[in-house]
Amino acid sequence: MTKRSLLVVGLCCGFLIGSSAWAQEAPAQGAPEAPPAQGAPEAPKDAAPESPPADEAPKPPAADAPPPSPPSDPAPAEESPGQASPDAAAPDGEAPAEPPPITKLPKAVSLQEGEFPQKAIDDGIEQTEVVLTIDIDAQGQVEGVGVQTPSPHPGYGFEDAAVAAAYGFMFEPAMAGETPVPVRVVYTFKFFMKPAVPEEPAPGEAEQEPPPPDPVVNMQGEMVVRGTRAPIPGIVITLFRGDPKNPDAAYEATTDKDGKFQFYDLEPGVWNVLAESKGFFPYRTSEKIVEGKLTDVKYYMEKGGYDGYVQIVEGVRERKEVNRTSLQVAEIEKIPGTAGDILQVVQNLPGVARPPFPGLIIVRGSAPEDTQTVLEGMTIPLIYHFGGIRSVIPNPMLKGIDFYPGNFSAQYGRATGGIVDVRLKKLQPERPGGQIDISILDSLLYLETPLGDNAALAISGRRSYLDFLIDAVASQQDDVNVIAAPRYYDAQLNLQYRPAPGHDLRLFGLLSDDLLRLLFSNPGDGTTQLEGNDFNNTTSFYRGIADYVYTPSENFSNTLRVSYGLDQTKVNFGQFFFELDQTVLQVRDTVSIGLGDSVRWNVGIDEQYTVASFDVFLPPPPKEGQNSPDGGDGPPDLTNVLSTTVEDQSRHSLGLFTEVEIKLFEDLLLIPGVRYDWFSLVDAHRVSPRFTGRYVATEQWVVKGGVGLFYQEPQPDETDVTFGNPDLGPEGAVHYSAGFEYRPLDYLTLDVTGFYKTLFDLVSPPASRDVGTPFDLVGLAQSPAATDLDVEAILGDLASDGIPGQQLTNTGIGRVYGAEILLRHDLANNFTGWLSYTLMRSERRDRQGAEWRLFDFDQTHILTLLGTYRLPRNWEVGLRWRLVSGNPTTLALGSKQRTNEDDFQPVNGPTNADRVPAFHQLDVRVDKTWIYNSWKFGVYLDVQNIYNRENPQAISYNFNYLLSEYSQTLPILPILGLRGEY
Amino acid sequence: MTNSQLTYRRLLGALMALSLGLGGGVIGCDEGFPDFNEVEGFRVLALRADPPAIVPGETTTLQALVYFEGNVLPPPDYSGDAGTDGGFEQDPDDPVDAGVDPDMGAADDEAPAPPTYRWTWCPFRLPISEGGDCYYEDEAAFRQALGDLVVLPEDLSFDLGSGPTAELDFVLPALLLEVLCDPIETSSPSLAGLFGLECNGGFPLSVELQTEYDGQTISVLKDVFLQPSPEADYNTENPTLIDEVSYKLVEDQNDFGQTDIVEEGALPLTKDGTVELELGESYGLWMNLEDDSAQLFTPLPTEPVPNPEPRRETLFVTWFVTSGDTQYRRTTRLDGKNDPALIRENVWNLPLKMDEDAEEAQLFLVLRDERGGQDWLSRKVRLVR
Repeated sequence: MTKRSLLVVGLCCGFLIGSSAWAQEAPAQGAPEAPPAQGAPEAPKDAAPESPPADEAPKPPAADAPPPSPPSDPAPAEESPGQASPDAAAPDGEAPAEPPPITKLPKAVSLQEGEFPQKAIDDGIEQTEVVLTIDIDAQGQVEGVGVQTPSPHPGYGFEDAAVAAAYGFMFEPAMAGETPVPVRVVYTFKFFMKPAVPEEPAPGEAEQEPPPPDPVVNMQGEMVVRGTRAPIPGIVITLFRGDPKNPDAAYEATTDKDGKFQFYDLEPGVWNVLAESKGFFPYRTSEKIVEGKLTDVKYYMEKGGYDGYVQIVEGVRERKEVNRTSLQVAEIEKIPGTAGDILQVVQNLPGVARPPFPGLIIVRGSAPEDTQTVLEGMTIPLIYHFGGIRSVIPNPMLKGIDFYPGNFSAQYGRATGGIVDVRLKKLQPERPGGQIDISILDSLLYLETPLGDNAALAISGRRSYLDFLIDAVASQQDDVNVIAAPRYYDAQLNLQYRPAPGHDLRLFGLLSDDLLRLLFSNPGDGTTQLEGNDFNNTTSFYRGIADYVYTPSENFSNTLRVSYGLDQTKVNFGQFFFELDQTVLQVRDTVSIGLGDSVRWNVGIDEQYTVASFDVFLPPPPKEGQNSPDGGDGPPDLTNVLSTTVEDQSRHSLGLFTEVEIKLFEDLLLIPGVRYDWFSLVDAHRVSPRFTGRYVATEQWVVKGGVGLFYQEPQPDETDVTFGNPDLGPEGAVHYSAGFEYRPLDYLTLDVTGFYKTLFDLVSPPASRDVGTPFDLVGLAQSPAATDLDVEAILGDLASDGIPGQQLTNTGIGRVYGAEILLRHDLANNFTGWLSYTLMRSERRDRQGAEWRLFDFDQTHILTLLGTYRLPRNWEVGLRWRLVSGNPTTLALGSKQRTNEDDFQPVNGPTNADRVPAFHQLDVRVDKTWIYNSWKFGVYLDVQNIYNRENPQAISYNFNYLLSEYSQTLPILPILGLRGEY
Repeated sequence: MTNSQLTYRRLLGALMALSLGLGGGVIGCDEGFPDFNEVEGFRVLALRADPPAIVPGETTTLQALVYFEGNVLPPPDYSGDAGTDGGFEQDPDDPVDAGVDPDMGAADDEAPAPPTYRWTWCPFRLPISEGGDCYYEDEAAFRQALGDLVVLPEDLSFDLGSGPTAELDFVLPALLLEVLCDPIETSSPSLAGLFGLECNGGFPLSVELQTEYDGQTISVLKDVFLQPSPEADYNTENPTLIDEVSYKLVEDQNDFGQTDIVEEGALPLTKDGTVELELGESYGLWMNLEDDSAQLFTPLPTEPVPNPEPRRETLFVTWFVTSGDTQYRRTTRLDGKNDPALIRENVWNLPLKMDEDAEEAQLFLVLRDERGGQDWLSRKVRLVR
């Protein structure tokens, strides 16, 4: 029987000496454990010099170099930084300086077997070892090898063989931070007896000595990631017996792309199993091999850290805009104070004001309706349930968001403020999986699965249970009968199919439904102006969006998106109601053509067709600068009620855009573009030229700037004949911005941008003194047609001329100027976060001759500091601290009592002439995830306003406006949530 | 944020705020101010026009229920006799200070002078948020604005005098009101409606009372409805309170939400002020309405409701108290939409401690309908430990 002994080289690991010392303690938190340190030789106290002595570096044998062994990875995993050695040499004869700490050890890429000397074989020596010192340069090459401890069997040539083999080693260099550095390691080279190679049988001898039997697999298995069950390819699994430092026998196998591995011809008995890889905790176990039986195992190896959700890395998109902040789900979903809603994270970016309600996005001093939130360029009617509780698309469906605070591309339109573009995740699941997320608000179920090799499907659904909670409380209060309160749900479907390279199809469906019904038994307790006691609010919509992306080459791509959906809203409170029913069709196609290496042309069309019916009986909604419930400046006056009914009103919003990306000298990117918009409702055509430029001065410095024209049509109610003025035109803005980016480290960016924005043709209400009264029609009455008080003529003229009292005009203008600073730390070193600061002023003038006043949400200083840090054992801690100027407010100078209505109405001072005190708040979030073999379970605690600051939100008054105090934002608010991921 | 969402949000803003305000009021989420119906200092609790709407040739009498430092004008009838106790049983020519209830603390030499009154009217006003002043500085400006459209009477004056009551005639030409109040087209609002003035009950002519006491001025606005045609089918009258109030100690009070009360066993809260209520206790209160207090009327057609059905007015009762608080500041009767009994009952929570100089407390019930009608009654009780 053929003797099967072993020869394993480089089994042992090394010590760093010289410029840095090996870290011998436990691994750094969050990093995988080090290989076992027990039994490893200690580094000498008197470390060797950086360059080995010449006489210790025998030349490698050239002719009889042993053949390379199979790839093996005995190198240690990433370790904690070591301490610098005090005697490290300084370059260029300068005073010795402390070398940087080693943050990563060299890792063996390839090893060489050492030749077992024949004389030793002849003398029956089966194993021995030689301790070497190996100098590895900054490229991972072996510069020199010295013998530190010779073999206990002198004279056989083990030292020469070990040195010769070591010169053939290749390493990944050691790292000090981001810099590769030369190091010296101590390496124990072990020799074992090679198996005797059976001699080729001579012809005719075959019948006497049969060939060895085929290997028999008696152990096989699969190595997967604990918690996610993702296979781990390329990991070395070692089976050994005896002392791990000096095993009696050892075998290795490497997992294939599916994480599978096999061992064969293992001797029966107990074997120790060891698997190590960077980013994972070492895996140790033992298996009992029974003769004649196959041992089938599945190993779950725990990662050093887990992302919130696995994201597909698609490469870094080139930056082309003056300002674009891209946020990935995994990066931001654990930011405190956002309830895990990534859209709310936008409110922490520079240039974005702190809103009174979470659903508003106020960008660079523009009104909330001036900023569009789109789904990959396609409009959806609602981003949030109930205006801000929760976004209608859950995080697992999303890849992230792109935020453009100004000077955005010509590909975007219908907005004069900013753009928030929500991006869907590209599905590439390797196996079925899912997620369950349970929070105090709602529960989410998300499932995804591959469909063959070229398709994947994801579905999700979410439902709130606030209605159950409120029902439980409200049942004790007969005043308010909660019939259905408040309930929301949403559902999504994402089907992706790639029939052939260059062809990508996607179908995305979205359904959302909000419902709230209240019945007040005693509505007069709040107001005498109600003729009913029920409040109903139902809002639902669905969208189906089909995408086809054709990319035959890198020089051509066509992206076609078609969206169709229905929006329905019905709300009433007493006699007041608002009903909307509209169908929306949107088609968007973008062609991108590369014209050589330095020019790319983008051109496209964006058509939105809407058919809407609505029925409204409401007070006119307040305009910016008027008293508004949002601002807390007074109660709504329900005595002035307007009504309108419109059936099947159709409107087009057509956009055509083109832009050219021109790269000059590799470093300068210029993008001139232009957009044409037709707003059919106001029958207006607008052309918007835009230009941005970026100059990459160095690898670290970028200079950028842009100027552009932007338009949006008035809000639907503003062009209604009753509520507004059908003769209004679009609102416009000119954006100017310039700044620079500085990237001192791969993961650290400083972005500074100054901006100036002029707003024109803003829709503004007339001054009250300008509002006509019926008696102001005296001129009309004195006309020849009315000399005999021709009532019909007067009324007819009035009807055709519109209603003076509601006559909105495009007379408003505005100006916004300021600067933004963003210092961002991308996800690296277990930390992500940013510091943003905005200094800004936003003003409005409602009409010619009026005084400039502050914008409703003007905030001079906006400072946000946030970050999350990953701790060992899957703990994460995050914090967010905000310091923001208070919003402008209009003071009540007194009041008048209305006895028929039994209330008081405030007499206001100058609009937005005062300001509430500054806001500051600290939010903290702690996440803990437990990893089980097939799933993960997480708990998070999000505590908002942890030091319970009484932040003024607005001024509230007593019933007759003689007493006032600040209404407060929420006090300390802990939110607990659970999450399971399969 | 999409434009649709913002439009939707702005349109709903007023309604949502109002509903939240209602919820807040109901569950006691007030900001810490004295509540609307807790009366102290100087207040105008009601302002009544009798009748609330007039036709050409008619005159209405205006009178306010004014509270000042424990006193009330017109003085309540705490004699113990049944019957409505409004000021209309008083002689309007009596000196103001003669109306001060002698039981409520007689005026001494150092006490501030009783409230003074100034009554005016105005055809159109600026929004109250901008001061609520009259569009026209004086009658001449009004005449000039009208031009030849309508000829105004020579003696037309915005001034209605400075007595405790005032008389208002049908001051605007009926033809002008027809122009203002007739629907422009069938099922469409009137011209006045387009300017934010509801003609539901006639043209709402704005009357202002400015009353001053101890250096403090209160301005109260009231719309008096001028009906161009006597045949108008939306005649409105003041509702009528039956001068009966009963009470009963609440023994099982629910601290969390509404306190359920049962009228059975309630005792009359007499007018003579002899009823004693214990500090720190809660008392159920019940009042009564005439059956026809809520008049049947047909609202004017609107675009969404071109042919409205006749319905009864909505009624509200405001429960003013000078000590303690009430479960509801106002109770409501919505015809066919809530329990009609709800408007009749409330809970009066008396304070634990008595005010230094107030061994008595007063209760004022002001009944309003949705078309400007008002009535009131009052009670006085003794507070004991």
